[in-house]
Amino acid sequence: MSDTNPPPNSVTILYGSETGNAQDFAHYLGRKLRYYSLRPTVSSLDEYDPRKLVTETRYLIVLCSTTGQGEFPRNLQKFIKFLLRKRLPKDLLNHVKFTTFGLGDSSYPKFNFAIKKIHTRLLQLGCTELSARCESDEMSPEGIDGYFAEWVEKLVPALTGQFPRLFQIDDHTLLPPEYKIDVSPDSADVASGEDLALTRSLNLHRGRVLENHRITAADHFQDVRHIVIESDSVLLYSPGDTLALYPPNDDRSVELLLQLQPHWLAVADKPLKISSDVEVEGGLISQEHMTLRNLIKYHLDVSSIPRRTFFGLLFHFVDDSTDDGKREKEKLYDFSKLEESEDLYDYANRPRRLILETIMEFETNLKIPVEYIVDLIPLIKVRLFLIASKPSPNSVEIAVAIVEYKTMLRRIRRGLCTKWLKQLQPGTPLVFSVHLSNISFGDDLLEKPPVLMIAPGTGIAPMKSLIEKEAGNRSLVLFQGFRETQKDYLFQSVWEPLVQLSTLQVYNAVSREAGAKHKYVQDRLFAEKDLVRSLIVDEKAIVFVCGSSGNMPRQVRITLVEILRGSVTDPEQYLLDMENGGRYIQETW
Amino acid sequence: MSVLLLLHPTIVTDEDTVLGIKSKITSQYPQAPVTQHIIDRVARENVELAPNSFAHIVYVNPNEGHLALPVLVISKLFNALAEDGDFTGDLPRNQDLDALMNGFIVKAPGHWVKPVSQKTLVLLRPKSLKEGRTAKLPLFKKAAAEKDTVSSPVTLTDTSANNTDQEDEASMKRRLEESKLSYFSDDSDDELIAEDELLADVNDLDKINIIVPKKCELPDGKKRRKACKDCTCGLKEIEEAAEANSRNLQETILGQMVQLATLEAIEIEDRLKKSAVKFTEDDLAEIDFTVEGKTGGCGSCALGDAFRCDGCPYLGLPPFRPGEVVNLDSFGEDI
Repeated sequence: MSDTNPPPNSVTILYGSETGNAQDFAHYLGRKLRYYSLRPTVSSLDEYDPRKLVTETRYLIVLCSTTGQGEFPRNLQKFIKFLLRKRLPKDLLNHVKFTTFGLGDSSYPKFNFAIKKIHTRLLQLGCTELSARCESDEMSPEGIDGYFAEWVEKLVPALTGQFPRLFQIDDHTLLPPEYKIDVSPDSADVASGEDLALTRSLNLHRGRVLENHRITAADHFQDVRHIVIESDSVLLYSPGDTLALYPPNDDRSVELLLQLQPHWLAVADKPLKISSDVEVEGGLISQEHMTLRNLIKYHLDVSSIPRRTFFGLLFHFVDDSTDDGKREKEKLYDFSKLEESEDLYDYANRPRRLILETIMEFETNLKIPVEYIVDLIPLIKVRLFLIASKPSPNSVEIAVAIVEYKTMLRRIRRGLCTKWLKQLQPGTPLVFSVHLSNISFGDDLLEKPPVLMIAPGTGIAPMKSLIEKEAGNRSLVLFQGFRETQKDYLFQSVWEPLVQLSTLQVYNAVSREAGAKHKYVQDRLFAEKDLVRSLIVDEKAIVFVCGSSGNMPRQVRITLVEILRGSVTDPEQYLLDMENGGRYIQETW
Repeated sequence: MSVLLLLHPTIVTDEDTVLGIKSKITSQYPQAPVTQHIIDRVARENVELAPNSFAHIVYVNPNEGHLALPVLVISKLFNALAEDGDFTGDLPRNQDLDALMNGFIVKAPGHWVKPVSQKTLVLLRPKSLKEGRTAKLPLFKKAAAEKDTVSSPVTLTDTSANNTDQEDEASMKRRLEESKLSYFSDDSDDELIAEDELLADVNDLDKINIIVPKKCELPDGKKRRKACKDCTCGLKEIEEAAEANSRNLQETILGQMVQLATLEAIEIEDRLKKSAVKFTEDDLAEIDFTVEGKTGGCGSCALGDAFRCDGCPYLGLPPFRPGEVVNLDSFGEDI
């Protein structure tokens, strides 16, 4: 029959996410389409069996972020490998209509490269465009939200137009939960275990904290921790690789949340079963210990900022039989609309309000069914830290700035992970993993090139790893930035002996000290321009920039262009070529 | 139009009952041919139901509590029903949402109707739809304006073969799928395209068909107030000042609350009556917000940040209610 729909499950939404942004957008879109009675598959690119692109998918939507060097996020390397096979015919996917959405940051030169590559390749394989693609820019005033709103506005009519018979469900209807969760209220309580993170996937490394101490002065505004972890299994990593940690919530937050929903508290320690696949890096804690309390503690990010998808579900659970309830429901519903981005931003993002606080504020008329908890509260994501130690089979170090700040909300904001890290005592067992990067420092070259390191703040971490490994093997030049010599000059004592041996050259930039000649790393680079030029042009040094994103990497780049002007014909192009050749490495966050 | 009688497997052994049901249906829908199937066979796809071919579907399930229907079956039956056709009988009572998700309208419990499409369908069909639909079928044609890329040297389809006549679409489709699937084998030795090769085409990508958001302005003409991550235009300072201001206001408010509380406590002591600090509407209205043009008159201050105005002195403080005990302790708490 000509009038029948393509199957409602022929829509596939795939995401490649590093921090979870792309994932949230993918789920937002998935839910929106469910209200058009479509049943899209929402999956990370790597979890998706590529065969289904042939057997199931007719409409493909890909959302993907770009990491530091224009690389693909970790969760899609496998998928990309398939896509890049040379022998794939160019009409392999000619039955698929598609569109893409890139999440990028224009302060990186390889802005949105991952999605550009995916889009190009899908076109090569015969896919046709369903609606216009989009490359969002985190640096723009519209934010990624602004781009997403525009893209969705074009995408939804283009997609629903492909289905002649669609029935729109009113978005006030509560759809069944995507994750199936069953609590057995009549069973006995599950005995509370010790650190249940240790029962997560066997693929994780297990070990313990050896050291955890503050390396900034006690009166410095920022607490930077140097943490040493001992591993029970053999570690293989090299400079530029990252350590992944799996932080839980603190017990107080969990208890507070349970008390806000008394019907949760009543079943908090009963056995709980999740029968759907939950995609979480590092796996869930063991089933035998799974309870509502432990699910929240180890997996649900109650101290994250509530996102649009959160409000899009939360409003259903407000009892609107009173005027107060009605008003609250409307407000929460409004927050879920893309048009109300500004209000949502002011309410949630700007003051860094937490999910926990939001539930607290609306608790009076709010009753959230347990079955919806995984749909509602995002999973705690793995936290990544650049490794600060030279390769070692049984230990690994990181240097972490503890996140603590104030907003107009009176509670101090603390990062979930750094709050957990700060209180970790030596001896505490933990799980972790090591993520290998594609960064190479020309180790396979006969003569190892020098490395020009540019590192303000905790950007120093991977430099320490590289310096400890390579001192004496090649020329190493470090441009380090900090505020005050007495307060946050990180790892000074590590450099000193190396400087004496002349295996390391250090140039500092000190931003908050009276009489300091050079405030920022770029100032110091310019002051040493002859050295920098000769390193880059004559000695073919590798440049490694690490630290906070935004101004720093951009100004460093501009400075280098100025330094190179005159020595090379086109300095901008020269830097681009360096980048493509892996000689200009940037890791910023 | 015909009627489809669906039977639960537990009833088919009871011939009398089945005959009884059938005669009932015949009297209800005279002259309509009745097709009869066991529901399991539909679920297992042993029988193919032609789309839009039944005016009525009746389900007989003698089991108490009406066992749930798999979503897949619901969607199959929806397709099999003609427009305005209905699905009645022993329907599960807790699957209205599944019915809805599959396009049914739930007229009453146990009475699902397939709506007439003209009225309910989302009228967003683009003009090119017809073209789109044929393209979806296996045409075995080379895409017309394809770029010649080194990366994809072969095609699956052969334009020379005249194969549209006899072969039915389904088997063609299956064969095409099979040949496509052969490329998905786990062959890790396959040569890969260098990622950078893809970037050669990137510049072409940028020029066409890309979405850019509407500028910095909101529909109401208000500028987005969020400063960029590395703001240099001064917006960040303004934001910081606004935040400092809102903290100052909070301090003032809290100070006043304490003052008020003290005053009231004195009163209470005098009267030896009340036992807690309470705010009445009057008390709230009396608070001087110290900011010009701001009064508590909008009535939303007590409701919490979600409802407060831009610049409300209570921003950042928890909601409270006139007459309710205000818990000052919880303000400074750390989670």
